[in-house]
Amino acid sequence: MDQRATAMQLLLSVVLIVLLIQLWLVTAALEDTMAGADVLQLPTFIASGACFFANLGLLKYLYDLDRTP
Amino acid sequence: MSDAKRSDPPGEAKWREDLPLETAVDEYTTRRDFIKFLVLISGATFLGNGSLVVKSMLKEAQPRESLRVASVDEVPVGAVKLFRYPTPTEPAILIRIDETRWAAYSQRCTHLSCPVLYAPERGRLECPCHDGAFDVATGRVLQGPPPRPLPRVILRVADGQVFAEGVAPS
Repeated sequence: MDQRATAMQLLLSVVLIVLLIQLWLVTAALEDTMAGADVLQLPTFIASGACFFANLGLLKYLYDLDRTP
Repeated sequence: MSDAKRSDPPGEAKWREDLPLETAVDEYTTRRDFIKFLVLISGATFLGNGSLVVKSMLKEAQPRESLRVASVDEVPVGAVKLFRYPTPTEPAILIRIDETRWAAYSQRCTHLSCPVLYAPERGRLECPCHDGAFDVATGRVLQGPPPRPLPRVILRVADGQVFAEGVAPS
């Protein structure tokens, strides 16, 4: 259980950091939209997608961890 | 009840997983659920970013409308005329800087959307709410909290008339 708890702590930290990166990306895109420019929306969308799928991968790892006896 | 017994054999019920007795297992479960919640937020953020992409694409697809704002004789040097552009709900300000130079901007301050006013003696547009100021020739921020220049309305002067023909990004 200790090892799992440590792994969980690590996973939680990584997911949180990735989410913070996503929030930063969406803020930059919103700022760009408010300024009437259309430069950052697509690159930040792609980067945000990469972050989301990374988080999904971590969630899958979590499920795999749960199934491990 | 009998169905529940069949689907949840003793020791494997979902509620037993969610509400464990031991503190360590309980912490594990709570953190696991929190990670699931964070991933959900991550997906929502991704979708939010997508909505901004869609919005920018829709904006690009819209044709730029030309609007007659005023006749040249109507606005003396140093005077302004208020109009609505690019939509009927967006306030804009036309300024005659001198005999030949014109400028037009969105009238909403980029800080908190207060209407900006022209101060000809100082050659700038001022926001009375938080003392923001913009250069009348370029729209760039001169002082105060506004984070961006004013969006500039593109003008065309022809046949004694002033036309608005789109908005340049700030």
